[in-house]
Amino acid sequence: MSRTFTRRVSRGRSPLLPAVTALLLASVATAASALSADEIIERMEANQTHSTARIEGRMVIRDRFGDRTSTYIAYSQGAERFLVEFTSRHEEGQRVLRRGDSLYLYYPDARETIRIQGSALRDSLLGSDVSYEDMTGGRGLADDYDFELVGEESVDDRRAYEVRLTARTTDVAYALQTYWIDAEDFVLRRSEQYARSGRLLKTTEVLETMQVGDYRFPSRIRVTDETRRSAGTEMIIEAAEVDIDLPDGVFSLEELTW
Amino acid sequence: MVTRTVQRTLILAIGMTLSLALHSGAQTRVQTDVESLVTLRWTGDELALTGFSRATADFRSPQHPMVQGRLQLRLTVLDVAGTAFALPEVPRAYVRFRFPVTEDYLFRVTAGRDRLSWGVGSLFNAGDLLFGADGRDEADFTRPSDVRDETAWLTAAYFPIGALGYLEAVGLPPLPPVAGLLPPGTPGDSPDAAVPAVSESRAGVRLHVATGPLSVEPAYLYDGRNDTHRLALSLGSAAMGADIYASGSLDIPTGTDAVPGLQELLRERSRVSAGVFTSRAVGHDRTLNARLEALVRPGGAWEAIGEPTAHYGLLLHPEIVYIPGRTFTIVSRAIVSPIDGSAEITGGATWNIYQGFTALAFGVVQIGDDDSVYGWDRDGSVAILAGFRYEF
Repeated sequence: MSRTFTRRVSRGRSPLLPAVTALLLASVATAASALSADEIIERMEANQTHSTARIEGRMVIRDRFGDRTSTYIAYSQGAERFLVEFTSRHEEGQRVLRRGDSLYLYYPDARETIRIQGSALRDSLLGSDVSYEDMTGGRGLADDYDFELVGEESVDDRRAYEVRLTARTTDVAYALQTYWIDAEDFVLRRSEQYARSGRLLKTTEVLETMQVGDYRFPSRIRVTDETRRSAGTEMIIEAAEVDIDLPDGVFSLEELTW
Repeated sequence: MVTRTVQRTLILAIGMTLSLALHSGAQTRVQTDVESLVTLRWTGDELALTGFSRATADFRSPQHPMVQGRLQLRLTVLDVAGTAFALPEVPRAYVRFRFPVTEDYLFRVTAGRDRLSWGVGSLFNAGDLLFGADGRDEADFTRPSDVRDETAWLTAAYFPIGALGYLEAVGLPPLPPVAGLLPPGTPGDSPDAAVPAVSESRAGVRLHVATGPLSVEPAYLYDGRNDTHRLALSLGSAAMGADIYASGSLDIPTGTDAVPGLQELLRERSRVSAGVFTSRAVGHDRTLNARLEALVRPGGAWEAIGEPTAHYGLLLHPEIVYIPGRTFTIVSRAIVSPIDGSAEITGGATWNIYQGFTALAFGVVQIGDDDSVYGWDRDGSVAILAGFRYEF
């Protein structure tokens, strides 16, 4: 999956599933006009926070050697509680828990619970381009970027705001990003990530969306690393439930290590 | 030539595997891991070529919210000078269940052979009262992570305390030797081997709590094998963008021997481990991880004593892992004995070519004098290992 997607989407406070998902669970927003760039980003990030959710998804990485698929089930409650369990054969039982500022990683074979702190938050998840911090949120885009509304464009025949994000710090993956955010539902439709030199590094495209209750969100995203010969990574939501009852014990070390 | 004992173990392992596969339900999850490696090693006199294969079959019960079961069988086959040696193992075999005390509270029990990770640390972990502070004997530096993977027969009860804390009690019985399952000459292979007494059991408890950025884990274990009370305290936190952790432990003997004074206890029967880990992005898609761990044994030797088996007071474990892409990993790890100026350095790379299929190549070299912990021109002082691993 793409660091692109990640750093950009997940650096948003929404979590989990990264890219995948969360990003995407956006509540239907009323169309607005004369919004500032800050307000557009704020509404996009607000759309990614929901009361509770359960998502089943998969991540498919394609290169010249074939596909690599990882599947997972993710639970979330608001913006503070997340639990991801990987269900694919090679990662089965690995889980990540975020509860407030505490992030824990569980390796079932080692029976080891590691509290992720400091720079380890930037470690890659399952060798992907997604970091733990990216996946589980914790930082808003406003923490690292200044926003500028460039204008409006049509993306897949939908009106979208074009917002430029310029990093205020060097401690981020991308010095410059461009977001195209749907002007009606405030869902990210496309994005590009650039190096400080201006070189295009990655692009993210929303290929499909899904409607669940009052929510519409991207259900299939493709991230392409523009620096390599790659078919990219797809993040697919297989099933999603929102606003469901989740026992509080789901977001605990006991559940993490079960 | 394969010995009769080896044949017996092969048949047993294969029979168990087939039986389980045939009788397991449709939802039983089975994963197999086959590893085939070739090692070229300097024995001190000549270069030796060794073939090495290891197969692991892992059976997991169907998903159930309250009960789990797992059986892991491993068979390692070594080919040395045309003779095959086989070692069957059962690294994991356990049942785990949750028991609801009230509608809002439950505890869980694990019984069988499994791993518990007490304390914190990669290679050195003074807080690990179950498997020891020094993991050099069991460490596998070709693994991308989790270089230690010891398991033991145990019964453990896990009591949650809030969402992020828990109390864990464990008992480890001394098991009798399993005669006939071990290669001839292996300790415990004799059917006449003495059955250990119950008094040789180990039992203990740890408490894990998190307060702000600080994780605290006090632990206690009674070790009946040498009639010793063992205490440990592990701490973890973050500072300056790095994860830092430390553990300390102390052994207090009991029984008929006079209990030493506190100063002597601290000097002769304590150990401390500490580590720092940092992960840095290199460019937009490369990662550099660095770790440094230290093991301090106050009762060890603090001057070079010219013994390869010396227990020195200080050991270091630096590690650098560079991940230039999604599938390629370059690893460099070392164990350094600074007091006698010797070290063992391991370097290599893994390439995850297809999902589950990995090619790997590593080299090991020891640096030091003949009378150092690590040194040139001795068995294993130089080795090259290469092969493939496939999980399916």
